[in-house]
Amino acid sequence: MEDFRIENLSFKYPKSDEYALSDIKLCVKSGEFLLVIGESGSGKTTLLRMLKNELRPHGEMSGEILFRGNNIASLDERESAKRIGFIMQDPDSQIVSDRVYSEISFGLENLGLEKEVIRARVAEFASYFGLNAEFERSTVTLSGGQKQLLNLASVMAMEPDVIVLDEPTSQLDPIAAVEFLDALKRLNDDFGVTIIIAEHHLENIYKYADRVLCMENGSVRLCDSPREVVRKLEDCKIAYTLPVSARLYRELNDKLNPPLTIKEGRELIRKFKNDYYISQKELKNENIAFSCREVWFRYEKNSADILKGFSLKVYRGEFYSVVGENGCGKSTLLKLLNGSVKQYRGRVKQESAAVAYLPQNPKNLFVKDTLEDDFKSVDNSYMELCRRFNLQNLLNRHPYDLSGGELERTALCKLLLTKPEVLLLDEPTKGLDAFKKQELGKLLRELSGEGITIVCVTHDLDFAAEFADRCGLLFDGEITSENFTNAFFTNNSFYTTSSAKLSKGVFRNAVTYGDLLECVKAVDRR
Amino acid sequence: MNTFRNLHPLTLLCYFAFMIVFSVFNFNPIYLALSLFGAVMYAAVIQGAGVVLRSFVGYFAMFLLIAVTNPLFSHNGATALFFINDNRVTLEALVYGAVLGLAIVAALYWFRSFNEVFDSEKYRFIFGRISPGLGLVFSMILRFVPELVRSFRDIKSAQRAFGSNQGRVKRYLGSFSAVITQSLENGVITSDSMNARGFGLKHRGLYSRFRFTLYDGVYLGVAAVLFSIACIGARGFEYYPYIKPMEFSAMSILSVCAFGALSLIPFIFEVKEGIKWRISVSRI
Repeated sequence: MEDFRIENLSFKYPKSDEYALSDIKLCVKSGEFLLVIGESGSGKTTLLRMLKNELRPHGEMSGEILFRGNNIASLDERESAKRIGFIMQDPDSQIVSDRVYSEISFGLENLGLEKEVIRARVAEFASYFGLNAEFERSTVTLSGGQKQLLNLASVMAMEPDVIVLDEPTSQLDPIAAVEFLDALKRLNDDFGVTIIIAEHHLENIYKYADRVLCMENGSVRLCDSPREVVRKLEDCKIAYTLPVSARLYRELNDKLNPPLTIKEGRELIRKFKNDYYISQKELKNENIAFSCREVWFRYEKNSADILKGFSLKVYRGEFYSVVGENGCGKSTLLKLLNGSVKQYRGRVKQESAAVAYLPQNPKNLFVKDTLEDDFKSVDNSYMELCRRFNLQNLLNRHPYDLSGGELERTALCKLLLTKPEVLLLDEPTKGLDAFKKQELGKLLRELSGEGITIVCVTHDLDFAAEFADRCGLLFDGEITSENFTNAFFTNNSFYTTSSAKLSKGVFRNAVTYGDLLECVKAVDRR
Repeated sequence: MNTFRNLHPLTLLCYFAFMIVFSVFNFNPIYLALSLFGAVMYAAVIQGAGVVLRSFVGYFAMFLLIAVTNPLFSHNGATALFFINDNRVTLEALVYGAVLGLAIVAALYWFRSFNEVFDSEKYRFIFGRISPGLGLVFSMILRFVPELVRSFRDIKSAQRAFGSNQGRVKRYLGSFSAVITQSLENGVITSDSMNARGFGLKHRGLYSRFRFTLYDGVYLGVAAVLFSIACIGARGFEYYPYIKPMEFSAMSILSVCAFGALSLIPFIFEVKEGIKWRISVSRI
């Protein structure tokens, strides 16, 4: 049975000359797990929103979308709400009510179900999604991962046939993202719910997909099984987002079946076992930018300590990454260095007062209606920096209308106008796709090359491994291990990058995809 | 352990309404003393005796203030105690002020317990019974306000970096307008998410975790009967021009007793359940 059949769908937003979607043909079977991939702006969101009557954007549309054989536009409102669930990126704003249980019951109340039916379903789905302990909690106090699971539970409670998800894990930390995807896979396996999901971080989800739809400039580039996509996809930007083992396979032109997981990828490089290794860089730097000694911090008199005897030395012009899971005190650390909060014991010694802080939500830096006004309010000589960051064309835009990558760039630009010597970044890669991450990383490297000290807290290990000079693991309020980046990730056996996991026991010190490639090529040459 | 607060919201609402209405509209010190006693005893059970004892100072100050201010403004009454600037200060006005103070303090103690017992879920339930939409709006506000506060704090802290070349007021206003813009932006997502889940369909249902049981019915019934008896038999005091205490008759004594019982329901409930709990635990 088919859930969706899309025939020659084209779509144009009002006042736009280009087609957001052009000539899309697609058929989604019941119970299928369809992964939609593509660069930001390739039309993923538009396509997904076309599948839900309530969310379909306005514009010029041609072609047809059939849901279970009938034109989707003719679907009854009640049926549409019930049978097609939709989950968006932002975990916070999708939540409607103040308590977990009332959020789960929200859709059921809308459907006008009997009180007893609602009661039973709420109980069932809270249990299934492990929200029992959170049942009475206020939704505001949940973590991002819990919020997204709650969104999934409240959609599932309506017992839809299809769930459409638009980058649901992009705002989550990696552990929560894996948990969310596992829940999704379980729904697909156990109940045959059709899943159509757009994602740009593919490492964990790729292996779950039955089919992968690659989009480019509003049209379908390729739609096939995950392994076939690895084999057939030509070299293009999307290819760089594939899981590490798949990328490696493409590089090697192996005859084997394409690997999708790290386990399969290890098979691939086993034969290369060799003594080649990546040499570790050690930078000598003597000028301290700032240091913390035995810092203790808590928010309130009776609350728990967040930082416990935290010590850190960061050198001038260094790119230092603090990694660690949620709630280990990473954001608090930045607030402390920024001067927003003060320790109750210990010493923080700043060599320079010029500290700039990029919050997790870069929108918070902007308060004016256009970028130009915002820049002007800091410093009038903004043009030079704008040219460098390639922002000239965006100056008249409202800051909130920018895409994730643009926003991150503009935010950095605004901060640099204050001529900082130290840059503090809170999860700068959140919500960015692989290419935008690369761009950002290169930009940060450039800045640190110019002598700006960068401290970046992140749970994006691949990003830290590729761009940072040194990394430290923050755990239980202190830095428990610290080293130059390569050594740091090589020494960590579990808390490390996909490439390091893949190459463990085969190549020494290969922690980034670049390292991995270097090793493979070097061995090939011999 | 079962507690008074676990009763159905409707029962609780009626009970507190009975007590507060009776305390505010009845200027009979006997009833008020009973009401205050019941309120204080219950507050002591749910909030702890220490907390309630500490609160006495404030409430007593309020009581004194009202008792003393009334005769300064009201010069009715036959028994003059002394004169201030040619104005009579009368015994009757003083007593009336004291009774007024007693009424307000009693009502405030009931409100105190009501606040403690009636959480947002119960409010939502009551609003939802009036109209499902109203219940939802209430729930959305409860989510929205803390989000707004948090977002204001975040923006303010992010703006610190640019602080030096702007005035403090200007910075606050800027942050405030940014908060509003951001929450409007997020509102679009929320409304999408509501529409996607069928908001606005006809015949909205109502989910609540409350169930009106026989138990709730019995308590509501008992409270209503006691309240009716108290109302029917109630006799007031007269304060002007002379103080005239209430008449005592079989009916009025019955009314006072009924009201005394009504005031003590929550306290007795807690004590009874406490004892039951002890017994059931000791049997294990």
